[in-house]
Amino acid sequence: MDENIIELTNEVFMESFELEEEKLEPEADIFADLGLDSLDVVDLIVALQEKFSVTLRDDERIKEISTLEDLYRFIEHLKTETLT
Amino acid sequence: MTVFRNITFYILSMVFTVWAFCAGWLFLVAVRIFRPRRVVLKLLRRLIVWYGKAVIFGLGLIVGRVRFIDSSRGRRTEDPCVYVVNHRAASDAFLMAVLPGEFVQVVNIWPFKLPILGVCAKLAGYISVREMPFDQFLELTGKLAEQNVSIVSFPEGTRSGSSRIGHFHSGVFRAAVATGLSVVPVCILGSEDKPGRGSLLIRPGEIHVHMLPVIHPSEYQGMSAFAFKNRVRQTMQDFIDRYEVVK
Repeated sequence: MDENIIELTNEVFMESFELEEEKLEPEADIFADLGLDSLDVVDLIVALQEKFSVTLRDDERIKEISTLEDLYRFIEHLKTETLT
Repeated sequence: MTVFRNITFYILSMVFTVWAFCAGWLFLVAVRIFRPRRVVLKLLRRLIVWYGKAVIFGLGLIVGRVRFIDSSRGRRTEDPCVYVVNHRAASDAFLMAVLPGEFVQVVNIWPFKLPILGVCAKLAGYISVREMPFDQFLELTGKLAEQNVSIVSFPEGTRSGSSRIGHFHSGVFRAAVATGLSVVPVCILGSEDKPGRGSLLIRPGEIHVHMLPVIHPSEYQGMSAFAFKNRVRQTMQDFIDRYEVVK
């Protein structure tokens, strides 16, 4: 896993959602553990798009994400796809 | 003894509900002939509050006691606001009768399906938030605020059944930010077994409904909806933790 992606993603959670770093464990569930709801996810997508300069909004795979680790992997895939 | 008290309470409540519904309906139909719809709507919401008060402070004495403590520090009750309430039991919606001002409750789908109560909730303009897109909810909140109507919400979305407050949904907080409404946290303590989850049995005891100091728009300005909802939740949880130790 790309450490830079983890760091930048966590930054989004800390800056946009004021979440403490110790809560950002890879296995943390975005909804049950971190407390985001469907409207917060829209804000999350916007913040991630700005941070990584990618388009996430229309990607169906985003619905399968539940943990932070899922999110890291998803962004990693997306970055790879963008480069290729 | 508790079971006997419960049976008495439920039978009397049912009789009273049917009587109140028929009397209220006739009264409102008569009023509608002479007065505009908005007046009738306001009256209906007031009647629902009186009905709730009769149930919790009248018939409710058979099974327990309710105390309302106002620490909102002199809020003008005619100003609209968003009441944010923790949710422990099915009785919580009735307890909202203690809140001041004209208001509608944000409810789940199932209360609308209740006989009589569901019909009244629908007619009074209570909001079934899961059945409408967020933009529509936002628009509705703005319209209600213009009419000085407050919104009562249980942002946990489901009963916690304990003193721990669950995660909040952000919808009402976004609506408060968008319409510049004050937020008034309301903590319910002692209702978790009145009745408990999956039961109809109301355990004897006292319920406290505690209205905390109002949060004005200037206090949450610049805060994200997520941070705002968590801040309110933490304020309420801290209060509950302190209060339950003292109690």
